[in-house]
Amino acid sequence: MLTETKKVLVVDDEKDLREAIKTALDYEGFIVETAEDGVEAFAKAHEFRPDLILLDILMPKQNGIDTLKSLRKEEWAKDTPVIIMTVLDDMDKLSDAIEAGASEYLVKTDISLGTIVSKVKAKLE
Amino acid sequence: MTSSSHAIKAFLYALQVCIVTTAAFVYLWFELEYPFFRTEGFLIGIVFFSIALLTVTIYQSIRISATAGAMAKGMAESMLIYSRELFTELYRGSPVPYLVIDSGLTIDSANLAAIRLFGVEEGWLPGKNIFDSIQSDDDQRISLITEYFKQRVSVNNEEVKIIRRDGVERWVHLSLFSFTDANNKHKGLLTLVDVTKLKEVDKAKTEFVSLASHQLRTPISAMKWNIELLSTATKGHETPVEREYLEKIERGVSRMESLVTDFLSVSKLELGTFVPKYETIPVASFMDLILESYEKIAESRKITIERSWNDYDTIRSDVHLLEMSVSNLISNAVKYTPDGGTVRVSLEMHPKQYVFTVSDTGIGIPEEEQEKVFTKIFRATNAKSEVPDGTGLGLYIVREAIRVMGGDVVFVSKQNSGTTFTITLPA
Repeated sequence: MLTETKKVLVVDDEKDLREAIKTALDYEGFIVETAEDGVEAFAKAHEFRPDLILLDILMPKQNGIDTLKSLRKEEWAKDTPVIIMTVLDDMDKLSDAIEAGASEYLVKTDISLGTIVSKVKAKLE
Repeated sequence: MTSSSHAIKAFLYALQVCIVTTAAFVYLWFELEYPFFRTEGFLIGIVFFSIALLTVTIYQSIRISATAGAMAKGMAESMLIYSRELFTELYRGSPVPYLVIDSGLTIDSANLAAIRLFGVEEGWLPGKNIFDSIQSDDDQRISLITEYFKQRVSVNNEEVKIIRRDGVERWVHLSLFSFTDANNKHKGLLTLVDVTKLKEVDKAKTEFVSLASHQLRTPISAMKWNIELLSTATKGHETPVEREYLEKIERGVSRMESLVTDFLSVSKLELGTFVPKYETIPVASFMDLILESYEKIAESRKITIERSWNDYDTIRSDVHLLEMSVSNLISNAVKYTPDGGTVRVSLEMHPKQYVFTVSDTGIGIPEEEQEKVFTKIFRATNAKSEVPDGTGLGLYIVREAIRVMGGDVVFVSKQNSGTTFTITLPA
C-alpha cells in the first residue's frame, strides 16, 4: 500500500481538529505526528521528516506562514509538500501562503475529512 | 455711516440753504418794491454772499469728510487689530490641530492642539517637512496629496497616520486648503482630526466578529469531522435508528454552520467593519477553492458544474467580499438545481470591469416575488418548498458585499427554467 510508509505531520492549535485529522489519516494507514504551534511544528518536522505537512495558519507562538518560510529555508524541508489550512476569514492570506511556498490550500471550515484525506493521498502519489 | 456720506449730507444741506437764500433774495429783488433791493449793488452783494456761502460750505464738507475719514480709518485699524488678535487666539487655542505649511511642505506654524497631537514641545514643528511624521497605508496617497496641494486642489478627510517622536501612532483625517498669504506666497492650512479612538472601536468590532467567527466555526468543524469519523467507524454495523440519528446530527450541524456563516457575514456588513482591502487574486486558484466546497454534493446529485475563465487571469478585489458573494451564488445554484442539472460559473475580463456569472437550470424565482429577492430573510415560495432549510440571508449578503466594492448584482430568472446572476465589479 502506498500510504504504509508515508508520514504526515498535522499542525493545528485546535486539539479536536488536529485529532480528528490524525484519526482519519491513521485509518488510511499513514504514520501521523501532530504539533500544536509553529515552533513545535518546526522541531517535529526536523525530527520526524514527514512526507507531507498539513499546516494551519492561525497559531500561537509562530503562525503557519512564518513556519512555512522557516521550513523552506531548510534543505531537508524545501521540497516537502505543505498543504495550508485556512478558515474563511483568513482567505486574504492565500497569496502570502502561495508566495511562502505552499503546495496547496484548503478551507478547513468548509471541507470534509474525506476530502482532506483525498488531497493528502493525491499529493503523495 | 461712512465719512463720505457724512460729507455729502452736509454739503447737500448747505447747498439747499444757499439755493433758498439766493432764491429769497432774487424774489425780494424782483417782487418787492423796495428800491434798496432793486439796486445793482444789492444784486452783486447777493452773488458774492452766495459764492462765499458755497465756499464755506465746501470747506466745511471737506473738513467733515477728513475728520470722518480719519475717524473711520482709526476705527478700521482698530477692527483689523482686533480681528487679527481674535484669529490668532482662535488659531492658537482651537481644539482642532491646525498647521500652516509653505509651498515646499515645510511647517510655518502649528497651534497648541497640533503640538499636543505630535507630542512635541512648542517650536519643534516649524521648519520640519510635514510628511516626515505623516504616513499612509497606501504609499501613493501621500504623493497624491502633495500633487493636489501643488495644484491648489483642496484635500478633504484623507486618512493618514502620525508617527510621534515617542513612537506612538495616531490616526487622523487630514484636510489641506491652499491660500495665498500677504506676500503673495502659496501656503496651506492643514487640519488634522484625531480618529484614533474611532479606528480602535472599529478594530475592536472587527476583532470581535473575527474571534466569534473562529470560535463558533471551530467547534462546528470538530463536530462535523467527528460525525464523519463516527459514520466511518460504524458503517455497516449501525442499526437503522442509529444511522437516522447520525444523519439528523449531521443535518443539524450543517444547518448551524450555514447560520453562523450567514449571521457573521451580515454582522460584518452591517457593522461597517468591511473596509475593502484590494489585492491581486489569482482567479483559477480562488475559484477552485470555492467550487471545491460544492463538488462533492454536485457529484452526488449528478449536477454538472461548468467553468469558464482563463487560468492565468488575475483580478484586483477584496478576497473576503468576493468569496462571500460568489460562494453564496454558487451555493444557491447548486441547492436549487434538480438532480442532473447544470450550473455554469464564468468570469469575463473587460478593460474597466470584471463580470462574474452564475447560472443554473434550477427552479427559478416566481416573477411576482422577484423584486424581494435581495431582501433580508426572504425566501421564494418554491425555494422554501424545495429546500426547507435556508436562512434567507444569502442574496442580501451578496448585494451588500458587492455594493461595498462599488459593484452591482442583477439577475434574470424564469420559474422552472433557471436563474442567472451577474456580478459586475469595477476593475
